[in-house]
Amino acid sequence: MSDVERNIDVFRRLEAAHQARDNDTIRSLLTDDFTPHTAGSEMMPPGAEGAITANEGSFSFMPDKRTEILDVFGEGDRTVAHVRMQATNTGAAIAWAGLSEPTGKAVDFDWIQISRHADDGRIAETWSQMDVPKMLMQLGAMPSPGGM
Amino acid sequence: MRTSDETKEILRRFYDEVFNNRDLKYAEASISDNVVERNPLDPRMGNDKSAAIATIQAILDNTPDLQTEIVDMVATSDKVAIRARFFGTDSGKGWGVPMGAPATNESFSVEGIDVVTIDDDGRFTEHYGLFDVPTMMQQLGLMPAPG
Repeated sequence: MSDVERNIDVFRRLEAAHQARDNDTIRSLLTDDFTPHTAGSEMMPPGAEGAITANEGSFSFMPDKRTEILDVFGEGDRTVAHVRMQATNTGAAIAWAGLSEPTGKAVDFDWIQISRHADDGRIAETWSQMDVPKMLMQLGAMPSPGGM
Repeated sequence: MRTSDETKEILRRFYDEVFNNRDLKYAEASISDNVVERNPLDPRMGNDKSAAIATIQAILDNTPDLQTEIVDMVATSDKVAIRARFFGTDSGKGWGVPMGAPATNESFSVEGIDVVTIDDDGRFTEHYGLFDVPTMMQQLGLMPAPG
């Protein structure tokens, strides 16, 4: 297995661990100084605990959250992934989206992540972009485009 | 077969010609007629080549002084991810138009990630890409900062 194949395997196992809420596996696949570079992640605890807090937060809003890896590839110490998420906001109200009650609405949107892997394959840094506008429109928290 | 460095060079040139030099014809020539555009700026644009061009056109129209800076690239022989910073002034048609706001004339600087699949002729056959809309809306004063 090449380093790139091993890194892709780590990414797949990490995504599965998020889905299974397997926090020990999440901790084992991230470096001790794991740093996500994503808007909002500065409000999370440092390291793996931040990733776990974010994942548990998503499940609290959307208990049926499920993800699907649409595409994954790599080069050197980087992997790139395109992930689709489907879920229903039947849990808690998503306060950060300005919502005071759970909407019961379904969301279906995607994100793209570049990960940097340490020499042992664990993920040390991530850069992500999520289709937040699509999700907010599906929740009714933002108007759909009218102009343009 | 192309090397990953050659794949990156195709996209480095594309960003420079299309986004920094505002050459939409270069985009027309680089994008395959059969391209699948997975993240059009407005879902009503559809997912074909006209959607890809309309997305680029809207980005240029909304930001007459747009500049981009590539921060990171990850590539294989036929695929490349580009993490880049987009910066400029919200003017022209304006980024807030979909939200019912006119151009704010405020400046923004946000990151995005694009992933492009490239065929043997060097043309783009698939694109997905997202940028940091929430941060941009906060910088333009169209959305409150979190917390």
